[in-house]
Formats: sequence, C-alpha cells, structure tokens
Amino acid sequence: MPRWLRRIFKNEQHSETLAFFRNISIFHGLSSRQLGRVMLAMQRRAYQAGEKLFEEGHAGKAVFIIKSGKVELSRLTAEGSRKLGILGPGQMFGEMALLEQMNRTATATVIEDGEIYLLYTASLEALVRHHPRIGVRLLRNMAIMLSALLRRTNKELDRLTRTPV
Amino acid sequence: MNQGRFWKSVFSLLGLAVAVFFITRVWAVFIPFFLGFILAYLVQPLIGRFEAAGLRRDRVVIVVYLGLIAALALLVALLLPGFLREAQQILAELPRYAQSFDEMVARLNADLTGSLQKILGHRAAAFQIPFRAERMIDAFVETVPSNILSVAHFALWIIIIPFVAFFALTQGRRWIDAIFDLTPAMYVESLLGMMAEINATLGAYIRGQMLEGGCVALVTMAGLGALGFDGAILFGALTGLMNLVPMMAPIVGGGLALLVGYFQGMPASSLFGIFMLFLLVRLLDDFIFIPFVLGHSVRLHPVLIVFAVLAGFELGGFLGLVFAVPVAAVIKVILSLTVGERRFVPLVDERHIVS
Repeated sequence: MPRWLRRIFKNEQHSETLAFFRNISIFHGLSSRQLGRVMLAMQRRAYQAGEKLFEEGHAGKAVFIIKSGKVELSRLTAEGSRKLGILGPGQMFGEMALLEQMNRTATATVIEDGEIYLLYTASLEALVRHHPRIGVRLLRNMAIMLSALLRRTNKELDRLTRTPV
Repeated sequence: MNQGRFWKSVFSLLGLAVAVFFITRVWAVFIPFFLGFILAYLVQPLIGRFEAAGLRRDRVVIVVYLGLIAALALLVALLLPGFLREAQQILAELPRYAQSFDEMVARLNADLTGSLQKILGHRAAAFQIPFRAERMIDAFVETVPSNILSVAHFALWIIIIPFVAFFALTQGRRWIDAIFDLTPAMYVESLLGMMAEINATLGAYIRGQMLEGGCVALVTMAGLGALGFDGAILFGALTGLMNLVPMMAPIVGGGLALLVGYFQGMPASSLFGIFMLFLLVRLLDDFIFIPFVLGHSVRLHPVLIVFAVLAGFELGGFLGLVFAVPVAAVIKVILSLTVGERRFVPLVDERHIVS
C-alpha cells in the first residue's frame, strides 16, 4: 500500500494497543496481523475500585488482562479472606479457564480504577478453529507459562521441605 | 458495585424492558433496522480483516460499502434483464395458466362426480374441488393498489437497511463497549460468554445459509436452463430464497416449477427432469452444501426445528419463517448458559499425573 494511502487509513490507536499486547507473555511470537485478530476477539471494560470481577467457586470462562489499574486476588480460608497478591498493568489472570472450564480458585476484586480486557473461551476456540497458526502459538505460550509456573511451584515446594521446622 | 453504577444498571434494565414492550407493539417498524444489523453482521468479518491489519474502521467501511455497491450493481446488471424478461413472460402467460388449471380442475371434478354419483347420488356434487385459479388472480388484481404501496414500503427498506448497517459497522464496537460498561462487573463474564456463544452459533449459521442458498440457486438455475424451462433465473432465485426456510425449497420451488413447466407445455420427460433436478438439488444440499458450508452450526433437534418454523410463521409470516431457526438457536444458547449453568470438573484427574 502506498505511504499516502496508508496515512489515510492507518489507525494510530491500533499501534499503541498492539505495543501493549506484545509485552503479554501469552501473545509472544504473534505477528502484528495475528495479534490484531486476537485483539478483535477481546472485550474491553472500564472498572472502578471495589468491583468484583469474579468470585471463588464460580465457573470460570474467560481470561483477564489488566490494561490499567490494579486487581487483588484473594481466597477464603478458615481464618477468613487471605490475600494472594496484587496484579497490575500488563498482567494476566484466570488463564486456567481457557484450558479447561474450571471453577475459580480465587476471588478477584478491583482495587484501583482501570481498564481490563477479557478473552472468552469460545472466542479462543473460534480463533483456534479459523486461524490454527494463531491457536498453536497461543496454546504453546500457555503451555510454556504453565511449565514455568510448575517449575516455580516445585522450587517453592523444595525450599519448604528443606526448611527445618 | 458502587451506587452510581447500580442505579445506571437499574435504569438500563428498565429502559430495556420499555424497549422490548415498544418493539412488540410496533415490531414491523423494526424489521428494516433488524435486517440492517444482520447486513452489518454479515459484512463484519470482512471489515475485521482490515481492522486487524491496523486500518481505520470508519474509512474501511466506506471503501467496503463502495465495493459492495459496485458488486451489487454488476450483479443486477447481469441478472436483472433476464429476471424481468422471465417475470414479464410468466405474468403475460398467467391468465392462460389459470385457464388451463381451471379446465384441469373441471375435468377432475367431472370425473369425480361421475364416479361418486353411482354411490352418493345428488350428494356427490358436494365433493367437488372448490378451486378456481382465475378467481384467485382476480382477487390478486384487486389488491394491486395496496401491493404497490407495499412495494414503495420495500423501496424505503432498501434505503434504511444499508443506512442502519453503515452505522452499526462504524459504531457497533462503541455500542457493545457501552453495554459492557453498563453491565454489573460480576455479570460481565456471563454476558461476554453469551455474546461469544451466540456469535459462534449465529455467525456460522447466517453466513452459511447465504452461501448455501446461493449454491442451491445457481444449481437450480443451471439445471432448469439446461432443461429448457422458461423462467430458470426467476425460479432459481426463488428456490435459493426459499432455501432460507427449512424444507421449503423443494416443496414450493419444485412444486411451482413443475406446475409452470406443465402449463408451458413441456413434455413428460422434461417434467420428470425437473422432478429429478429438485431431488438432486435436495441431495446436493443435504450431503454437500450443508455439511461443507453450514456444518453443524445449529445443533437443534429436527422436531424443535419444525416447531420453531411453525411458530415463526404464526408470529411473523415469511420473515418469521426465515428467522425461526436462528432465533430458536439463540434461545437454546441462552437457556443452556443460564438454566444449564453447571459446575465444572477437571478434564484430567490430578492423581493420574506422574511427574
């Protein structure tokens, strides 16, 4: 496409959003066009502090990616609510729902106003079906992420078992 | 949820209820708007391809619209002269067809009365077929002024539908974002799920139906043309259109083509050819077009499809017939996601993993 024509049609905001998603580990290795397709399958929503995204025990069907703001993950224990961590921009959570539809293992609450992107399981499945190259890359990235998580858990377990009581 | 958003949601729900009530009262007015949204839905994947490449949606929509208008103009230029010629021919021949039909019915009535008179006597006259095609045509001619008005109504639709589709395509994403922003946070995931599932079901169905209808229309046009049938384009297009309604194309399209073929004085071999053509189209549709084009996008029980079609006709006439199956599919998706909400179990039991 000639430069003058590209200037007429170019979406500046698209480039900014693309740059944001490029840094999310699940999207590593996707070309701009492939990432553009994934972006179209996602839904953006503005959240306010105090809003609950999901509750522990509810069926999980979507993955959440924080564009701005902060989200707290917590779990109910016998002693009450236990904070698992605070997530910020560029971080993703709820990805287990994309692999197998499971009940949520934690509650997610917005603690700072911001914007969050959601990708629903059926949308991911449609992407895998219609664009297998994108699907393979996304699923591979998810496998790598889970592998890293397992490695970290093993290390943690190892550290805990070695620690004298 | 904070109070401001709570009241926003309450007012949105109230607004939605009022809108639904209003739509049910004057639903006919909404048909072109509804069709406009469907047109937008059909064009959306094409726009999405360009949008994914980083192009501005509004400008892409204008270019795609110009392209579609050019393609439509080309199609009309190619098909319309033949279509009009055939329609004029059939209309000119209509009184003769009606007369032949009435003569055929009269002969049948005479034979029937003759056979039954021996058993029933003068009561046999009650068993005559009370059908006169000429009377039907007269009744149709009497309604011509109102038909012209409905044609004017239809012409207005031709302007409204692309107009609505244009705004739905350029601003649709913003409207969807607004719906999500108004939905309470806890239900966003469910709403997204519902929209994604409906999109997955409907998208494949509507686009598949259009393509399948096109395939059926082309095969019928080619077949009827090869058999020397006057009105191949008209009846091919009619069969393709009828294909939008389950089980309608072979009955209405085939039945009418056979009847017109008979009145055109086609030999028995050609009439058999028309019968075989519609049988072939049915088989092609069932074994090639539907599995390859439509797939299993709408998983509905055949009994449910028949029920939906009948209910659709009762509620909305021809448009009700066309939209019966997709609407039933949407209701099924909504019910399975709301009433059938289930708790999930892991796909693999952790005890079976050795690491």
